[in-house]
Amino acid sequence: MMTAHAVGRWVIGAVLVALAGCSTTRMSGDQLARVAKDWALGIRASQVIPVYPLTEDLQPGDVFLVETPLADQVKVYSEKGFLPLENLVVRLHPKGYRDFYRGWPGVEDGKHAPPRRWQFPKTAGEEVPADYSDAPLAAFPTYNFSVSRSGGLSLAIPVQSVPVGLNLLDTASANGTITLKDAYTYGLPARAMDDAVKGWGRESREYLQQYAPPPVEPGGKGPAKSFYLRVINRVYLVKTVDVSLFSNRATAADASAGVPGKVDLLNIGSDTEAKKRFDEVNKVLAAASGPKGEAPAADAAAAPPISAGGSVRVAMATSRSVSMVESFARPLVIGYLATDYRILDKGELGPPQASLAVIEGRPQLPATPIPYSGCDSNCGKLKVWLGDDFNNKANVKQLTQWMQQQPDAVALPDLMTGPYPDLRRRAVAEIVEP
Amino acid sequence: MALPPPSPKAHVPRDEVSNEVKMMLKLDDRVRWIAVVFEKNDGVQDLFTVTPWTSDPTAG
Repeated sequence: MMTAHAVGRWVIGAVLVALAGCSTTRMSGDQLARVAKDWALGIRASQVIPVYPLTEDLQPGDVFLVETPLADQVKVYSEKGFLPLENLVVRLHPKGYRDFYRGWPGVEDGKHAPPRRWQFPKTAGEEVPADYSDAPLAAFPTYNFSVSRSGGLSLAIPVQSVPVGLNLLDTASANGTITLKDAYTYGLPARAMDDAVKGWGRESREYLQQYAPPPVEPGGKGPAKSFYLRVINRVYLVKTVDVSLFSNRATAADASAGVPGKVDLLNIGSDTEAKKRFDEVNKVLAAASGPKGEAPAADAAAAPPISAGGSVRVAMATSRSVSMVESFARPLVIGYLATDYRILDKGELGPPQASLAVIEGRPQLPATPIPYSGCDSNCGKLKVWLGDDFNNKANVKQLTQWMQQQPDAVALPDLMTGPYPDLRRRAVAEIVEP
Repeated sequence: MALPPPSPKAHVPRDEVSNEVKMMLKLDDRVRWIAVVFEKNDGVQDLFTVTPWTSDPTAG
């Protein structure tokens, strides 16, 4: 039987090794890519576009320039599991929270729009912790994963509990489950976001013009490359992550010289001893992960934050399994929903499309068919005015500009032979036969 | 503001299909794919639905 002193030394050793294992600097590029992908696949299963790495600094109204052509986006999304959000163009501050969350306590527009009030609750000059208790709740399913330390810690989950747990179990490989707890979501309807985006787009036409599609090369195959604006309209946040690891084979230390042998460290069978050891482990975790020079908290359950932004503590353990709870200082965004706007000629923005549908390559659903109504007399006049085979480009442009000013604007092919006789009459009266 | 993309047109007579296709391509340069699908014969003529797309409908 190990003495308490020996246990303490073992714990410190194990935890230091575990925390060293948290470092991603030693991971190869392939391993890092796998971390990102495995995590992202889990989140994607919930019909949410994953964020990697997790961040607090993403909110509805963030507009990203997506440079990758659509076909390549689909490829990147399939291969990596997530889309890098690289080029933040602007952070819009759309209004509409108060109306969208009518009756919801504490939701307002302006500088206290979500998530500010939850991130930094109002105080009388005093710093108080984040309070998301009024935020809309979300729930995610439990994800299963396998983890192995052979050849380095090729972890599949971007939370620090995993390497810590792996070392506490003293195992080379384990299966585990991850539960995203204290999940929240908030957002704005795409319609409200559309107003903000289009308004910004009109003011930024010159900026957007540089991303207009290049002319199609004669004989070129496929569509011209396009740039898109990706506008976040809903985010999902998580504050707490529960990780349970189940050792599934012999210990990694068995064959290693100089490493302590198997230790029945956290045997729940002995109540008092187990509590003591839990406290010991949590104290060491707190000390190893807390700010420099800070003494470990007396209450081990209240572990201080790990430098990366979270705190880890052991919740339950046996010789073959360990359950850990990792809490972030404030909820972090793990996924989002967004709308894509194609940047058209002259910096205009195309109609919104759901990003998820675009990057998952779901076929674009056409609008409901309109009935062909033949070419009436006004259609005939427009046809003549637009030139043989519609080759009078100046008149086509003039008709386009006129149509853009109409409150009931439709596409020009729809105008000509669709069920819009009044619109055709107005077009003829105002521009063909003024 | 950009105009909405053109809608599919239903009940287009066979003789008018080519005109519709030409119009969609000439009057809206966002149109890059067009499907022409037979609907029915109404007893007098064949009718088609002409569907334009601005992005690849087969992607994925």
